[in-house]
Amino acid sequence: MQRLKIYLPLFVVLLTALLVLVDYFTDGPADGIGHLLALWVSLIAGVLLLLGLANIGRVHFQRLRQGHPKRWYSLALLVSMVGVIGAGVLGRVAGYQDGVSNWIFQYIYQPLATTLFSLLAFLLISTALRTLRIGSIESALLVIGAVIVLLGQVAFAPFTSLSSISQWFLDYPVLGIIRGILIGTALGAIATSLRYLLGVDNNYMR
Amino acid sequence: MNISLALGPSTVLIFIVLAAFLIIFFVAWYNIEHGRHPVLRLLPPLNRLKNLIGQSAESGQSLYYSPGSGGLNDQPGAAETLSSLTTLAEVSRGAARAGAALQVSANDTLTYLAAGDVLQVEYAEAGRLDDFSRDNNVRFISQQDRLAYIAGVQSVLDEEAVSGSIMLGRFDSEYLLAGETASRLGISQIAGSSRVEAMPLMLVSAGTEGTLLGEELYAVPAYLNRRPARLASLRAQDALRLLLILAIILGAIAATTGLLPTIGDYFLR
Repeated sequence: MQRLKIYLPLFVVLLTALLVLVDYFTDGPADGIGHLLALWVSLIAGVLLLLGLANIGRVHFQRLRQGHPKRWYSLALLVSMVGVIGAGVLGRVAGYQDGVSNWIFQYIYQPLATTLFSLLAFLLISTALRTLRIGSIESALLVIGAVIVLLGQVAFAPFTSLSSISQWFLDYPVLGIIRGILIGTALGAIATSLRYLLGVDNNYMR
Repeated sequence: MNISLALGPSTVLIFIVLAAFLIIFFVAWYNIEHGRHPVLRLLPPLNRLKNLIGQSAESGQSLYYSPGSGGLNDQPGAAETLSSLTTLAEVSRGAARAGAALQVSANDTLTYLAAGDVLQVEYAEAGRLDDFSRDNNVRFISQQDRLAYIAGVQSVLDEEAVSGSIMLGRFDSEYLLAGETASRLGISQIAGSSRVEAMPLMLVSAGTEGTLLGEELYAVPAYLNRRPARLASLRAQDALRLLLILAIILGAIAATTGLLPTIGDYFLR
């Protein structure tokens, strides 16, 4: 039974990999199998979302019940969760389709997300200052490069003269480094994926 | 039933890369099984990783692990997430044996379930299944929403008693929000991503001793558990990289001298 528990998923993994490869490299009866399997995964992931919701609900409900110091955040999360799901369902029932959900997304969620993202600008300044304080040659080069590229984007004199230097940085050293990193990560991704498809890495099956 | 090969220019290139990888992989595997082990260069963040597990066990505080904001469901970053889950298996084995508590959070339901399974297996094999609870050790924060996820990670680092943080997987510039929270709280960090948007931010936040860059993220499982198949895949990666460098140099010479003026277009396709 224990062996079946290991070998059955492994067999499914190998068969799936074979079907996807045959679909990709041939024209014939296997056409579209890869797309179909991806749809199945999406369907399964949709159902699994309920498990995720249950986990969030349980964790925050427990915090409320135990009187956690930050329980009001948990209450806000639970109310928002129920509110958004309820608004989506009721909106559909009332014939607004996704209008209500879209309104919440556009006017509540999106501004909150943008606000959070804008904090990055301030954090970047503080990290740049900390990097300068490290005092190594690498950190100094990093900050000098960043300053030249940033000033090169400024449209006022005397910074306009820096724009060609900034563009040179982006077009040659930076692009070369990025391409090198991309080739390395692509090979890493191929290696990882093949190890899983061949059943060599099977930590989740034991 | 008609089956024909669908071999366009890019498909041929992918086929050659895959075939070459598999051949080199199996040859390297055979060689390693017969005692010819490759020499691995040092990755300083892995020394820090061992220290973090030890510190967590001694202090009684948790070790935090994030497999990144990518998912497994046909989304970008699936390979990074898979690699991170393999690393998680090694980290959780070390943590379970040392008696350190581990907190994991996920930005995707499939990752959440896979991470839970990985932890359960490792805690069971270490004979410490009583210390594992899927509800307490693994947390689902958000579904494919990287900003909401990183806000959740910030909250975990801020509120829980965390002695160290390991964030390996797909992160973009939003990583800085969590990285700076960890820096502010004095939490020792290990970070790694193959995204160029995140790499410089990780370097300034986690330091050079705590950052895994690009392909190093995929090499970590082989370093932590030197199984022949994993070492063989590292060998195959290096061999393919050398072949690609050779192809680029020869292609550049061929294009410059006019021998094959359109060779560049073939690679760009």
